[in-house]
Amino acid sequence: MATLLIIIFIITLFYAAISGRMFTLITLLRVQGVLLFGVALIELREMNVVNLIVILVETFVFKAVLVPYFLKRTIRLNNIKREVEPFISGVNSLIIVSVLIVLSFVLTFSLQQDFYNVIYFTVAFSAILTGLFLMVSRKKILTHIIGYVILENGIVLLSFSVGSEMPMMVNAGILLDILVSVLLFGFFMSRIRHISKEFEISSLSKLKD
Amino acid sequence: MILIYFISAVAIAALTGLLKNRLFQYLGMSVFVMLQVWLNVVLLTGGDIGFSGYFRADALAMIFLTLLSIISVTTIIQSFVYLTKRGDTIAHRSYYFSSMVIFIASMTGVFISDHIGMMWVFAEATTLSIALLIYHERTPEAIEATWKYIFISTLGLSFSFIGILLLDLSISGSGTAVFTFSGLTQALVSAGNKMMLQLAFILIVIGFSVKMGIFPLHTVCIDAHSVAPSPVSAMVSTSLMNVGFVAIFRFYTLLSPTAIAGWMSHVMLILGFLSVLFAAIYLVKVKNFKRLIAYSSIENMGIVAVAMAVGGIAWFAAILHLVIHTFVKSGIFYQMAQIIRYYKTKKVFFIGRYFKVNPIGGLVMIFAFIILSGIPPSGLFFTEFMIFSSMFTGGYTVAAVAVMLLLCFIIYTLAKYFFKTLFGPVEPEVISNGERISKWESVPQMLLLLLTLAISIYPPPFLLNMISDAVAALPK
Repeated sequence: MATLLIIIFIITLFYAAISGRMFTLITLLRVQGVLLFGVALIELREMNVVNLIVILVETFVFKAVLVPYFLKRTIRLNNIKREVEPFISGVNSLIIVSVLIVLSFVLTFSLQQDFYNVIYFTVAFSAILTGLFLMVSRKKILTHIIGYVILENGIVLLSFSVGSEMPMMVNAGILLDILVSVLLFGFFMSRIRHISKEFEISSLSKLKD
Repeated sequence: MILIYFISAVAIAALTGLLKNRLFQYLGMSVFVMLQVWLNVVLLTGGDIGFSGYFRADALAMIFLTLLSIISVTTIIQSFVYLTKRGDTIAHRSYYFSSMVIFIASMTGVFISDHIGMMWVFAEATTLSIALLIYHERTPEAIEATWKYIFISTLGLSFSFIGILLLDLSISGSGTAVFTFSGLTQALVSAGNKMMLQLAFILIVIGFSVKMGIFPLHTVCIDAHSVAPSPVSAMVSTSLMNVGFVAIFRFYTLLSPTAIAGWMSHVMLILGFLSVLFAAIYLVKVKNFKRLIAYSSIENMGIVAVAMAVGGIAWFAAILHLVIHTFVKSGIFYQMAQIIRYYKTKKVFFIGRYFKVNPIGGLVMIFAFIILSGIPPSGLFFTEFMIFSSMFTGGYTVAAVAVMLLLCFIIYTLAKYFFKTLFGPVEPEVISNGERISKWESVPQMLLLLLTLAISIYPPPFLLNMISDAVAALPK
C-alpha cells in the first residue's frame, strides 16, 4: 500500500516537470501533501500515539492545506502570470527528471545500507533532485518556492524511512520552521514587486562585485 | 531554566513588536540584555541547564555564548544610536528590536544545543529572524539581499538536514536511541559505512557554510553584510559566523574518530583555501566598504577552516582566532555605521580624511586595522603564527605558503582602503554634511578593542582552559 502511494508520488514528479501552469504545480503540491500523510499513517503506525497524531496533523495541515493555500493566495494578490515560463522546454525537462531518477537509483544502490527501504530512499532523492532542477530551470521566483517545497517533501519522505525518529519537540520545530520560511518567501515576494513587475529571477542582479 | 530564557525572550519580542511604544523598547531591551547576561553567568558558574538530551553547556558552547552576550550588549547600544540618527518611526524600530531579540535567542539556542535536530531548528530560526533585520533599510538592494539570503540559506540548511538524516540512517542498525552530539560518537565508529558518512559530512558542511561564510555558499553572506544596518552586519560577521563554525566544528568532532577523519580534513583544507582565494580575488574589485570588510571576514573564516583541517595546536588557535576576530570585526562595523552616516555613501572612493573629522573614530579604525592585519601585539598574529607553524610541521608546506601569499595580498588591499579612508582625499560634494559627531559613540568599540588587546597580551587562564576543554574531544 505504501509502495503504491510512493509510486504515485514519483508520478507527480514527472507531472511537475511537464506542467505549464502555476496552479497545476500547486495542486501537485497538495497531492504530494496528502500522499505524505498516507505514507506517514501506514509507515509510522508502531510509534507512540501522541507523537504519531502530532506528526500526522502537522503533515496534513502544513503540507496539504496551508502551504498550497498560501502560494495560491500569493499568485492572486500579486497578479502573477499563470504560465510557468521555463528555460528548458517540457519534453526536455521530462527527460532530465527521468535521468535524475535513474541517478538516485544508482546512488541508493551504491550506498549499500541494509537498514533502509530502497524505494523510499530513491524516491526521496528523486524528489530532492527534481526540486533543485525546477529551481534552476524556471524563470519565475514563485517556481523556486515550489521547487523548494518539493525538495522539502523529499526530505520528509527521507525522514520517514529513518529508523530512529526525531523526538516530537524537534519534529514540531522542523515543520514550523519550514512553514515560516514559506510564509516569509511569500512576504518578500510581494516586496519584489517594488523592483520589477515580472517576478523573474533575472531582476535580482544588482548586488555583485 | 533554559525554558524561562526562551519563553521570556519570545515574550519580550512579541511585546516589543506589538506594543510599538518608545518607552517599552528601552525597557524591553534592557530586560532582554539582563536576561542574556543572567543566563550566561548562571551557566558559566556551573548552573544546571535542564532538559538533558536536548541542551548541554559544554566549554565550546560557553566560549561562544559569552562572546555572543558581550557582542549583543554593544550591538543593542549601537542599534539605538543607529535608529535614532536614522530617524526611523516607532513601528519600524519595534520590528527591528523584535527580530533582534529572536535572532540573539536563536543563536544562543544553536550554541547550547546538544540534540542534533534541535540545533538544526535553531540554525533555521536564525535565518528566519534575520530577514527583517537585513530588510530594515527597505531599498531595492535590501529586498534582493534579503531574498537571496533567506532562500539560499534555507536551501543550504535543507542540505544539512539531509546530511543529518543520513547520519541518523547510518546508525539506525545499531539500536542507539539518542541522537545527540555527546552520545553518538561510539555508534558512528561502529556503524562505519564510509560513503554514507562522507555524503553526510559534505552535505552538512555545504549547508552550514552559509552561516560560517566559507567557500561554496559564502556569497549570500556578503550580500547580507553589505545592505544590513551596520550593527546587524557586526552580528552577521561575528556571532552568526561563529554559529556556523560551532555547527561544523561539532560535526567535525563527532566524526573525527571514524574512518573518514583524514578525508574530512582534506575537505576542510580545500574549502578553507578556496575561501581565502576568493576573498583575495574579489577584494581587488570591491568598491563598497562594507563588502570589503565582509570579504575580510570570509578570509578569516577560511583560515579557521584551514586550521580545523591541520589539527593539533591549530584547533586551539582556531578558537582563539575566532574570539579575537569577533571583538575586532564588531568594533569595525560599529565604527562603519558612523562613517557611512557621515559621508552618506558606502563607496570607498568617496570616503576620505576621516581622521580629521573624528580623531577618536580614526583611532578606532587604526587600532582595528593593526589587530586585523595581524601586526604584533595583535592576538591574530599569535594565532596565525600557531596555525602556520603547525601547517609546516604537519606537512602542509605548499598550502601554508599559498595561504600566506594570499594573506599578504589581502592585507595590502585592506591597508590601501583603510588609509584612504583615514587620510586620503575626499570628493568635495560628499563632505558637506556638517554633522557633529559625538565622541561617546565610539566608546563601545574602543572598549572591545581594548579587550582584544588585553586578551592578546595576557590571555586569561580561564579562557585558555576553556579552549583546551573545547578541543579535548578531538583525537590528538
